[in-house]
Amino acid sequence: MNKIVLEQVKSNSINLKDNERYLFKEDNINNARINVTTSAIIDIFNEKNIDINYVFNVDNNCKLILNIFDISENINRNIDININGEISEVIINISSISLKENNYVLNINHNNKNTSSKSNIHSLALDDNIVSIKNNGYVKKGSSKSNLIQDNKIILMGDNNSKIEPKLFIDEYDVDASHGAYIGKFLDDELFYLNSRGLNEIDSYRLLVTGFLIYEFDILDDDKNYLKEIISKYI
Amino acid sequence: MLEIKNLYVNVDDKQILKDFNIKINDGEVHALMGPNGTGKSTLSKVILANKKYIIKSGNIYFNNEEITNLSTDEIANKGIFLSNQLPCEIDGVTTADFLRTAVNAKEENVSLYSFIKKIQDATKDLKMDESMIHRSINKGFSGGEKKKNEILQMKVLNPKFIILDEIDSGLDVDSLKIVCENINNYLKENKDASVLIITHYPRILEYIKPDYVHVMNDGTIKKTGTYDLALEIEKNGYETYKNNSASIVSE
Repeated sequence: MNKIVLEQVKSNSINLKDNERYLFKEDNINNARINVTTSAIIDIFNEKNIDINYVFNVDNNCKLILNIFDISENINRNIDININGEISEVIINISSISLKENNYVLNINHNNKNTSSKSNIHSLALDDNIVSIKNNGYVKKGSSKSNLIQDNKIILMGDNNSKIEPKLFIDEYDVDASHGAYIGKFLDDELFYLNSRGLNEIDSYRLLVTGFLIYEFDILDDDKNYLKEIISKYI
Repeated sequence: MLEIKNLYVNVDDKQILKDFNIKINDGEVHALMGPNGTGKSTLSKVILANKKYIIKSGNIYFNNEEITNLSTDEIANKGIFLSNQLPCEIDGVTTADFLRTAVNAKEENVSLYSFIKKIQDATKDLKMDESMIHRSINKGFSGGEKKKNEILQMKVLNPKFIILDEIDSGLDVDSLKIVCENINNYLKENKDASVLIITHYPRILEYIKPDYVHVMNDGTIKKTGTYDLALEIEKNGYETYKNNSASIVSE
């Protein structure tokens, strides 16, 4: 699989090639419409303030994996994913460290039969910084045998008013769907376990945060190491 | 050598340990037995300075150095290891990653090759699937796999004092034999290492022979003896000790 760097994501439609990995750079852009007519992996690693709307249209027999990592003061991401074709699968991994206020709205529309989606949105709110997650899953009537899984988590490192709104709108009987939401701190038992093996507080938090933010990412080892370095600057 | 003197411990304002005393010399194996809720697991967590437990008075010494007020990681790095009754599951942190960090915290200049060799040997000895060390810690593991993963960590971290908190729970007969064989081999290779086995049942003591057996109830040791004491408990249960306020020491 090749890695293709898109230096500038244009506002007009982008058609992805078969079985490629794309690294999106989001400079000077507010809207992007992306047609997925094959299987593809898209990575977005962002350290800037951004306000952006994406629309993904996913065709038949496609697998889209989207890995987004944000670390910035102000993030507004609206992502609409239309799974229009049968037997298509979408995996969305969004991880972020909020340095002030990060807002995510994810709408996944299951518009056909045998479609599946899995969304993992994991955010870390440092100090009194805020994260807001709205994760909506829609299953249109007739989209039978569809499968939706939502995993939404915000880890608080201070006290703040972060929130998660996980919602499922299902207009079909033969569907598997589950959603989960957690807002809170790392568990005392987890910290004790790592401390009891000789890891100090900083090393323990660094491992927990790194695992929490990037374990689910299906990305290259070099990219994982790059993200670990970024995370270590803040923990 | 671990020594605990006159230890009183509270949890949520409830007294759990009362005037608890024990001395475990290098190379000794001690078993601490008792019914549910007597404070055995509390003791294991207090030794490792778990913040849920408040030491009201008393002292804990390790190799003649007081460790009562040290942090959990400082105590662990002195060579004390707790194999947990219910090992914690941690999403996203692999056993390999965290053990590598733990080894580096303890010893400097451990090469990646030596670390990988050590962890691979340990997985083979414990008949574990090597892929498990690259999965989230204990996530989706069976009860037996979790206990094996605890002993794997023991073998890699090389402690001087080992606390086995109900290591036999959740283990089938074959896995119990493998785990105990690994502990016994570790003790053969590390003659100075000592062990505190916390258990309800004497079954594990058939595999790891204790030098001393202590019966605990109501937050303190009621009787100390040899392996025969464990056999007596197997036969008569703990009822005798439940109403016995005085401590008995027998050799």
